[in-house]
Amino acid sequence: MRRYEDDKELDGELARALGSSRPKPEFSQWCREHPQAVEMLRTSASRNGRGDAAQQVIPSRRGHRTITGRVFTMKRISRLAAAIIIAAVAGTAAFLTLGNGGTSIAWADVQEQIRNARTMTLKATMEMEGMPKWMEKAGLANMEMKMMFKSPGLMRQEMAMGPSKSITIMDMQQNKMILLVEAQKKAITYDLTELPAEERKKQEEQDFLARIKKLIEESETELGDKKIDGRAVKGYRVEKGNQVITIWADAETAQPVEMTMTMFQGETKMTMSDFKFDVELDDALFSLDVPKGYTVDKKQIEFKEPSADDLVEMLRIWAKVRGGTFPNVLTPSLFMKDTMNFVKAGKDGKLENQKFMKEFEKADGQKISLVITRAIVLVAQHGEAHYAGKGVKLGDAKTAIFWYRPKDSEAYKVIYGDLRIEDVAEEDLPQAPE
Amino acid sequence: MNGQTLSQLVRSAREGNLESFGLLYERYYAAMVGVAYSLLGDRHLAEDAAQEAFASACGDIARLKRPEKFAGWLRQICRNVAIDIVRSRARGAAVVKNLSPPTANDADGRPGEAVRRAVMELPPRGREVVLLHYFSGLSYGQIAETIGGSVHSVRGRLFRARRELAAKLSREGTCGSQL
Repeated sequence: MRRYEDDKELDGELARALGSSRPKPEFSQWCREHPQAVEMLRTSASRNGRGDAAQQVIPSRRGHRTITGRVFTMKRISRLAAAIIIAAVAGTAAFLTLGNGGTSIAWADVQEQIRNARTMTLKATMEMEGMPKWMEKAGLANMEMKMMFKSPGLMRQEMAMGPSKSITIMDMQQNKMILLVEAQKKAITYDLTELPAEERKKQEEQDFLARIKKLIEESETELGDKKIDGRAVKGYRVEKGNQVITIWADAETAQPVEMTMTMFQGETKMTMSDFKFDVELDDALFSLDVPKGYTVDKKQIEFKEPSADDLVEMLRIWAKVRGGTFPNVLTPSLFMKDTMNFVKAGKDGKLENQKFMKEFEKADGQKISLVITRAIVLVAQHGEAHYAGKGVKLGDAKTAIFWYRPKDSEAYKVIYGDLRIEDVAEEDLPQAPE
Repeated sequence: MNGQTLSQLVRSAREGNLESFGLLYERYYAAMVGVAYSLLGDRHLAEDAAQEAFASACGDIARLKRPEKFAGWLRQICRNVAIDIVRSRARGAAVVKNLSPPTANDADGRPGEAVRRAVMELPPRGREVVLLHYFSGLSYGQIAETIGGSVHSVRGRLFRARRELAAKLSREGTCGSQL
């Protein structure tokens, strides 16, 4: 292949056409023309930290079109979180896995409080836009959760999504997790003994709040001060890929008071509030005992890193429920929407859908959930990933639909429409979609 | 930069030091014009957008918590300003369309206008790196600092953009057969 990078003729033409008159900064002239801006700068120190969130210039995500920008951004997701997603839908896990704890001089006090807090509870709601009306009516576009943490290593999560209610309890000391599905009177127990040591340590140390602290450290914009329920709070804004996180923390104690996360250009919004620390939580809330009348299913969670194979499996299912065509974008909410529509059509009598659903029922549902979770994580972890599957038919061997560069790899993994995976050098990649 | 690091300059500017802000202006002005140019397709509008972006930055630099992220932060402001210009004037695409035909040459007989047009017809990501490199005169490292990402990814993006440009110009017979 010809390497135009070395082509002096093209370089020369570009330099002549574009570089003949480079923009020249004339700062003194700019100052004369922008006296108000100069004045604002000069008084900026006195305004520092006391800004009005409503007036700030916020670099929006408009025009951001990379696949990462369209996918649930869950960088450095823990494998344990992957397990939790099975029980709670991806939204919860995003929060649990926003990053690792870190150190900070300014926020050392927070860290100390986190370490000292014996218990913590919070309420979370997730709203998804763009769902079909029947899903909204059924309450399937919203999810409500109550989360409780207790040292050492106990977690309880109560989730309600329409008629579906479930409880997940995790006990790191016993290496067990249990999922209780109320409507089906079903209990699924998970063995966590294979949980990697690093993940175990994080959970045992309850670094859930340390991750909030980390987010605050990473925030690029302060939102100023305001009051929530009479408490003076300071605001911080963090952008991670397409995820915009706003944190309001107590001005004195730095404990979180309210957090919101919007994802997919605002398509999905999660709000966390009612943070309470050191409230009394009965040990019975974290009991791993199976309630009377529940059937029990035992599972072993498979802890493995996301790979292209996971994405291939997800795309295979997704294309199938869409009638053989890949989706326009890769977002968890679209996947959920497409799947729910497919299931509904099956229940309404579409034989082809019923057939596929029957095959699906024979498969290991938990395993498939993990595959899908890992697939989403894989895409979110790779900022250079591109999705080009819009309108492409399943089986199209000529069209590349997704590519990314695995960590520590020179070559890219490219997935084609027939779902084969190939290693491709960067210079041979297809043109990135816009 | 006057012996000061980027972080020192940003911190100083945050404290209201106009001289420090001026050094930042001089360092990033060309880059911001390039960013805006890639969205607006018009040199003069791009300069207006870049200057407006610096003006906006004056009001908000106090809230920039991570000085090392100044370039990316400023780029987002500049993009927003440029997008507002596109919307308010409703001529984003028209700017590109108003350029001369692809075969038009500059007064010296060189295919400058056709090259500029071909650049503006590149996909946005490729267009931005080409303009930042050839128009604003940024190195790969400076581009990476401005748009975020690694030098490696900038090199790859520029490579692909050049490959596409070469193919386009060759098809149009604008440049020599070498292209």
